[in-house]
Amino acid sequence: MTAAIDLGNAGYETVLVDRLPSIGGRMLQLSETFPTLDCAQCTLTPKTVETGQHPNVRLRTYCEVDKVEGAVGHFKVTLRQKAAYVDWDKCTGCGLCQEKCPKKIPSEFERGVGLGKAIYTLSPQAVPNKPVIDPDACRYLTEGKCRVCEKVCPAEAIDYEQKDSFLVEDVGAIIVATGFDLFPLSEIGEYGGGRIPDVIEGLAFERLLSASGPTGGEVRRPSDGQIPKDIVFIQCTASRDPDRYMPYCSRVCCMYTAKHARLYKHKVHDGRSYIFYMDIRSMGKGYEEFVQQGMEEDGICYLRGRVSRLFQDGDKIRVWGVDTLTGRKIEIAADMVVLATAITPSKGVKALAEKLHVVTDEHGFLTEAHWKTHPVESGTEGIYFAGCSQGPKDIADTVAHGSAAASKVQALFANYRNRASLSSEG
Amino acid sequence: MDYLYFPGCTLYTKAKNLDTAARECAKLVGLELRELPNWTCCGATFPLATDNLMALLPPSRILANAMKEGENLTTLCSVCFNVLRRTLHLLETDAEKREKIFDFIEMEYSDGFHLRHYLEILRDEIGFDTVGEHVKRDLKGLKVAPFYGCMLLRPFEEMRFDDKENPRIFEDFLRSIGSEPVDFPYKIECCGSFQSVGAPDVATECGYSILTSAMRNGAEAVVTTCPLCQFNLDTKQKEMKEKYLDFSGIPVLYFSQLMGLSFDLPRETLDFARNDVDPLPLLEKKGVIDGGTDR
Repeated sequence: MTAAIDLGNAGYETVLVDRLPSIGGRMLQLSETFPTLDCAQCTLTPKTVETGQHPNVRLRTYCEVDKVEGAVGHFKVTLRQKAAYVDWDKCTGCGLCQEKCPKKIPSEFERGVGLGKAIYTLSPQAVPNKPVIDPDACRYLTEGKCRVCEKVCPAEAIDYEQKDSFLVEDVGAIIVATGFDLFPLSEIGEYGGGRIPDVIEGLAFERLLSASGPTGGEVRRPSDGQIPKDIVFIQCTASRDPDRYMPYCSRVCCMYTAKHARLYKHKVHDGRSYIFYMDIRSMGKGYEEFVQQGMEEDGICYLRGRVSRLFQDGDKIRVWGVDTLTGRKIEIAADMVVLATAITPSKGVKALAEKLHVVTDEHGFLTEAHWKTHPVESGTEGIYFAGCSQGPKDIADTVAHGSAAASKVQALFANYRNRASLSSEG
Repeated sequence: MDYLYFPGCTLYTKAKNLDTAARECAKLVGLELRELPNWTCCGATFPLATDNLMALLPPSRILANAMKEGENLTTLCSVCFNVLRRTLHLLETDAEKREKIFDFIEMEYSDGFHLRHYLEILRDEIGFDTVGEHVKRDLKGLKVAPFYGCMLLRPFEEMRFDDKENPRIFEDFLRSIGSEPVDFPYKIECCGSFQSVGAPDVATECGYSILTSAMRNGAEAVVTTCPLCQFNLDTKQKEMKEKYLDFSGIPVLYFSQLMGLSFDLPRETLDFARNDVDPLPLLEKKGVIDGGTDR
């Protein structure tokens, strides 16, 4: 979005492709952001609206890249516009269909701690504010029953006959900003393997904290809806673990875990939070102060050590860790455990990289042309990277990265324009 | 199905009950066990130092001997299995060490040798369904907690026995013979191992935690496949009772004894007399055996 706005402001026509129905990415799922604890949506939505309304930016959401042909200056990108089963030209965004839809399914947006409807927008502030129907969940599309959304829609926008369609965009440059995903709990056997309901990932805890989340911002256990009084947070889950998981540091977890523990304390005054850590990486402006405040004012108990195992024991989760600073084993009977899982590239990035003829590293992150001096260039002229697609980073760095990518495109285009005008003059 | 069989030191002495029952059951399910001639002690631990080749000689010699005698080898004791499997893995992957060791013991190495635990053979080659077909005595859904211990599963990359955090092979076995497996979080924790000699109180604590966890989750009996686990969980219950006065105790059996019971083998074969905590009262209470005439 940052790149699109920058380029749009510079006078260039920009196409923003997103495979989700609306723009905003991961920040939309967050509750508050560090270090200010500003509301994520309040910071983000002015940007999504600006992007959506920008005269030079064209949104192509719910699209996937099918084919990329050509080269710098004249890329031909074929997009697959996925069938939304809703006519977006007719839809007014009233939301009645979502309200009345009877089918509830586990929502990917809610990361396993909440349900969504078969017809949905990702959030109340979605840009564009047009819903899509999940064809695998919709009762009509799978079983031929229901059709409630069609009945209630005042704009007659539901169209079950819609099909995927293709469209082509001719562009001079491409910026890849595919974001990130998280390491799956199912592969972490020693922390329950995804089978313990009250052991969740950090992003799922964000959804519990979020006022627009499945619990309306109340921190409640997925298992029984009770408010947990003892929460264990485990940093470096599947990060910095070369033996079996990811060797790299995921960069944002120290900060967001401190944020989670602080927000939890602000909501549950008699709650106790324990953070198992290896180091505290708080390298941004105001970050260290934020963490210290968490310890001093919000009483977070930081334990330097790893957790070897945790398991369900009756109503509680037994967490076996160690406190290396006192040299003692620690056993905590927690009500809930939040795992700061490793940041991984988004699904499907490898295939996309092949279509673009750009390189990914052994973990799937896009490889920039030079570690130090070319953080946004791909090595293929005209293709640039932005954000977590190139490696884990926080929001501030992502915005800077996006602007950097936009500036490279602007230089590229200005260069061609200058050369073209020179040759026409000469 | 033919397999060379490595008993290990305790299987003919203290753990005879594990051995006899396993052999008799093997006959019934079509597994021919041929004792490895001239076998010796496995060494009991895989060396912690990677350059300690001397400690690898006993298990290497056993494997070399087995390679000479046949194509595959099985064992029952978890510790022996751990040492042998890790040694075989090292011999398969480290050509330099393999050459040094085999030059020293002056024996031949053969590729493609198979080493499997008795339970793996049941699972992969005979099939638990076939095992189930030989069940003649109803175990009346006896709630049994399988204790894996650590030697069967770890280190995972070398042992490759089952999922190291949530293994299922023992549970599948127990179900096939008509008992009800009980899942409990301590099933993969260490029994205390040799600490029962060096720091007996530590081992008592380990065993107590394991048994009480099993009991809390509804177990009526515990099964093992390792003479050392058996010692720490069965024999040491005396110490546990002395320390924890309200500890009621629980029968701990070898899996082969339970298997033999379900196959209705004669009582002498099952050798329950060697179990320090007598399982007969439990079995009688559950109606698995008849108190009086059932012999």
